[in-house]
This record gives sequence, C-alpha cells and structure tokens, in this order.
Amino acid sequence: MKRLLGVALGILTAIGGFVDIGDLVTNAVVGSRFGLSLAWVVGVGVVGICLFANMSGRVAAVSGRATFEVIRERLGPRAGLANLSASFFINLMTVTAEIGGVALALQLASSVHYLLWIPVAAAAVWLVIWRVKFKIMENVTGLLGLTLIVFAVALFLLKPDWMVLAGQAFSPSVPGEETVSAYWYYAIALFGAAMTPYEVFFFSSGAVEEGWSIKDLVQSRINVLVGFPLGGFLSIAIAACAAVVLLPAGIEVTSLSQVVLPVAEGAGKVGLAFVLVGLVAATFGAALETTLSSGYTLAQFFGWSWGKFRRPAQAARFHLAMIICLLVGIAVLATGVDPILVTEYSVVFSAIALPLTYLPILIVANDPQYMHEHVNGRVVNALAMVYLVIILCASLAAIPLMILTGAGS
Amino acid sequence: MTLNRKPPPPAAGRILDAQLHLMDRQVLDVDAVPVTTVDDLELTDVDPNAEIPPGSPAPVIISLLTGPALGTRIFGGRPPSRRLVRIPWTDVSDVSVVIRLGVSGEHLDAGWVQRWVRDKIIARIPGGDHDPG
Amino acid sequence: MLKRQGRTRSGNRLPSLAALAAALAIAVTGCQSDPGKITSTVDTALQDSSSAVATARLALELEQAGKLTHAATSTALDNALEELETSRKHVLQLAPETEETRAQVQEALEALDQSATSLTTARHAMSSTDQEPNRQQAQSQLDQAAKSLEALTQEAHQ
Repeated sequence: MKRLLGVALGILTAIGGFVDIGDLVTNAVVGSRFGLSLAWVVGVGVVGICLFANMSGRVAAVSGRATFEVIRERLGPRAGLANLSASFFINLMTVTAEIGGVALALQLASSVHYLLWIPVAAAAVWLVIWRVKFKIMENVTGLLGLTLIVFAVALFLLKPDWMVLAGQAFSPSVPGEETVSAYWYYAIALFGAAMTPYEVFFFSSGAVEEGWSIKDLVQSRINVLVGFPLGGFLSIAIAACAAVVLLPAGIEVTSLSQVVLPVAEGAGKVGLAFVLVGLVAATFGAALETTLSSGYTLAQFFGWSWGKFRRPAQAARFHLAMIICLLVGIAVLATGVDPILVTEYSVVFSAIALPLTYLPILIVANDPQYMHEHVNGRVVNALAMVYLVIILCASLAAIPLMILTGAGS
Repeated sequence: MTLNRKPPPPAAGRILDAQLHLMDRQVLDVDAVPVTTVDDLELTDVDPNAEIPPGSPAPVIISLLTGPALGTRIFGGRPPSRRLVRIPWTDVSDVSVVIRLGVSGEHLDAGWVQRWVRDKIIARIPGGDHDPG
Repeated sequence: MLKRQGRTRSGNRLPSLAALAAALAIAVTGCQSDPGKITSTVDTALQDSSSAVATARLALELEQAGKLTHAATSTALDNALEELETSRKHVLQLAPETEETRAQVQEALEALDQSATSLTTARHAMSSTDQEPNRQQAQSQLDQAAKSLEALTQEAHQ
C-alpha cells in the first residue's frame, strides 16, 4: 500500500513538475496562432524527454555520477567548459524566465505590478533551497502544479468541436495566415520547451540527492513513463484552450494574462483560482529546479561538494553560486525586460543546446565502466539515435529560422 | 600513456590510463565528500625532448593538481610551481570511477576556497550550519 | 603535465559562426527603411493591436459575466495597453518618404490612438468608483477601435 502511494505520488509530481513557464507560454502562443497543428511536436518531445531522463536517471543510480561530472570526464576540460558555458547561460536564462513567471502569476492574482513581486519570488526560491528538504520541495510544488489540470477541465467545459481539434492535431497543416518558416520555428520552440536540458541535469542530480540505487530504477521509470506523457497531455490542453478561445477571437498570446482567459471563460472564477495556484506552483517549482541546476552544473564540473542533502556550509560554493544566479536573475528582470520574451528565447536556445546535453549522456549510458551490465539495450539505443538526429536538425535549424521569422513574429 | 600506480595500495600493479582513469575524475575524501576534480597531474620530471634511454625508470605520479592547473590545461601555458594546488599521490586510497582519498578534505590545500566561502559567507547566513528541513 | 590531445571540436564552431555572420548581415540590411518595410511594420503593428484590443474585449466581457476577477482583468488590460504602446512606438519610429506611405502611417496612427483611448477608458472603468465611465461605454469604444483596425488591415491586404 505504501509502495503504491509512493508510485502515485511520484507520478503526480512528475505531471506537475513537467509544465514550466516555457511550456505554458509556448503552448499558449502556439495554440493561439496555429491551433493544434503543432500538437505532434509535444508528442515527439515527450517521448524524447522520457528516453533521456530515464537514461540519465539510470546513469546516476548505477554509477552514482550526475550528468555534468560525466560530461567533463567524457569531453575533457575544453569541450566540457564550452558545454558548461552554453548550458549554464541557457539555464540562467531559464531561471530568469521562471522567476519572472512567478511574479507575473502573482500579479494576475493581486494586480500588484510584477516588478514588485520579483524580489519576493527570488527570496522565496532562495529560502526553500536554503532550508527545505529536497523531497518536500519536490512533492509540494509538484502536487500544487497538478492544479493546472484545470486547463483540461476548462477545455471540456468550453464544449469545443472535438472533431475540428482532432483534425488539426492528426492532419496538421500550416494555417493560412502563417508562414511555413514560422510554423517550423514554433515547432522547434515547442520541442525545446518539452526537452529543456535542465530537466535532465535536475533529474540526474536529484537521483543522487535522493540516493537512488538500482532498486529505485523501476519506480523512477514508472514516474517518467507515466508522469511525463500526462504532463505532455496537460501541455496540449493548454494549447487547445488557446486554440478554442483565443484563435477565433484573433488574440495572439504575448502575456500570461491571456493564457488564463480561456480557463476563466470555461470554468469561471473557481477555474481561475485553480489556474493561478497552478501557475505559481509550476513556475516556482521550475524556478527551484533551474536554480538548483545551475548550482549542480557548476559544482559537478569543478568537483565542488554539492547537494541539498548536505548542510549549506558543507556545500558552500554550491550555495554561493545559486545565490549569485538568483541575484543575476533579479538584476536582469529589474531592467524591465519582458519575462515572456525571455521565456520565448530561452526555449529556442534550449533547443539549440540540446545536443550538448544529450550526446554525452548517450555515450556514458553505453559505457560499461560506469554502467556495468546496465548499459543501454538495442531498442533504447536505436531510439536514441533517431532522437539524436532530430535534436541535431532542430539545433541547426533554430538560428536560421529565428532570423528568417524575426523570432516568430 | 599508461603507468603503474605507485605507491601501491591494494590493487598494486593494475594498469591505468592516466588520461582515461585519472584526469577530470571526481576526487572524494575519506568521508565521501567531494573535494575537487583532477585538473592535471604532476609527474616526476621527464625531459619531453630528450630520447628516453631504454631501461630507465618510468615516470611516477607525484600529485594530483587542481586550481590554476585547470586554466592552463584549457588555455595553455604552465603556472609557476609554487602556485600549483597539490594533493599528494600518497593520500590517494582508491581509483575507480571516482578517486578516493584516505584523508579528510578539511585540511587539504585544495579545500581552501570551499573553507573560505564557508567561513566568510555561507556559515554567517542564518541556517547555514543546520541540516536542511 | 599531461595534455589532452585531439579533443578540440573546432568543427562544431563553424556553423555557429556562419549563423552569427548571417544574423549580423540581416540585422544590418534590415535597418534600412524602404516602403516594403514600412508596410510590414504597419501591418504587424495593426495585427498586434487588434490582438490587444480583442484581449481587452474578452477580458471585460468575462469580468462582466462574473468569470474573471478584478485583479486578472486589470492585469490583462494593462498588458494590452503595453502591447499597444509598443506597436505605436514602432510606427512612430518610421520615416516614410512618399505621399502614399505617409498616408498609410498616418491612418495607422489614428487607429492606434483610437485603440489606446478605448483601452484607457476600459482601465478607467475598472478603477472608477462612481460607475463613470462604465463598462458598457468602454466595451463600445473597444468595439469601435476593433472595427477601425479591422478595416485598415483589410485595406492593406487588398
């Protein structure tokens, strides 16, 4: 019974933890402009993140080594440092976007300007990282993030024409008023949002934090294989809500306040209350994960002691690095740059950097020195190779498409 | 480059590839607390230009290097010998996917940044010295 | 000292350098003003503004139906106004050279001003304590603004 509860909790946390500001914004933007014609990308992204999160979790459980230690060992210091710089920069951008997201969500709830919420949000993130146990942190934000399921509920209450939605999703085509390059640009953005590298850093480091052994692998596999697809389903529900309400009204999503309008229309103020709790929890949870990830990547590259299971004093450089990251995030947001814009760029840059994270994981997952008899099976490797090709294509096409479309505008 | 480990802890005579098994590996102290990563190695002097006469003794690892050695390894150059932060090879107790030391990291030179950040900043923030939760 | 050899991956840097060069080239050439650019800027501005006005209409409608809270409605209106201001700024920065483009810019600015006014009315309606201006007035002004924007967009696409 207790085991079953554990499985259920893990799955629920994975669903709630899947959605972050990147998924929220990108899915709503895409829904409001392209309907469900890009839903297939979410599917592709979810399978990819399941595949690689699983792999990095397995590497962490079997070898006790988190992703970035492995990246440096395999790539050497030079390529490792280049990789660290890129990953760290994108991660910092994501931290900034998530904190901005928390502040925007709080503005929606209170009508107090988001700039005033930013220091509050960042301080709360730091306090949780400083004092709260890893497990509690994970479960609380994950469970509260689950209230985003109200997007799916609202979609039902809106009574859309399901056939039309299914038609958009299963026989995708570029809508008349959009260009083909914008379509593919947003395909890459959605892919980047679903597969953000921080999820892998966080997942593998979290496995070390929680002291996973090979025994725990079954549980983690269930969490990932059930939780992430359901999280992807939630992403599609967000896009569908936008497609049903905003697209016909000619509204292109550029702010978080537009993302919640369909929920209000479908489920009223109660729905709005749920969605606000969900927004704050999901972005706050992701802010925690990304902030921790920036600490993890730095500490693992340089071999510092790290982890929330230690006292802050025993992982001093790790904690100092995270404090600095949060301060940088606050400073960037204080310039008044639109957090939604930061989010949109962060998901595309994530897509560009995907090979940097996923290739080394694939290499190590096949290395018997680390993995003993738990190296990748043939099927996993075949799938991973297919994904490596997709990831490379997305990475290479992202910048030309960004220029061609003026970042999708 | 392969070399025989010396001095010989239990697995004496095991053949290790310095590049593959030592460089960039995580170093843990006796309590399994991470200390650093192996940024470089210090060997007994070999003149790289001179031909090595057959039968001469193989070079031996003196210490693991960290700190400035990383910068010079990436960008080239060579730091002055006194600036090198060393962990003597005699402190190493085991080499596997991580390198374990037989001593506590608390007193190693390699831990000074960690100690400085801890004593000057982190331990001074309330709660910094408490277990989480 | 050991040196790691054959590990540099300079091959990977080439595509990103090429992309950077391409980005610079486009950024430089894209800065020049020409009729095509004026039309596209005006077009984008009109499109973004109709989206902003539509957002305000929807938000106000939902608020009146008791489905949206006061805080969320004001935030949506604030965001819409910001979006409109951004579009307006882009149009104001244009330097039209011909009679035709001047007229085009002028028309667009009038519509944008009308939209801004209607959004301000909506915000005032949300914050007023004396029902003046009331939400109906705001709603009808927004409808008007939406019509003007729509008409201009249609004109441009003919």
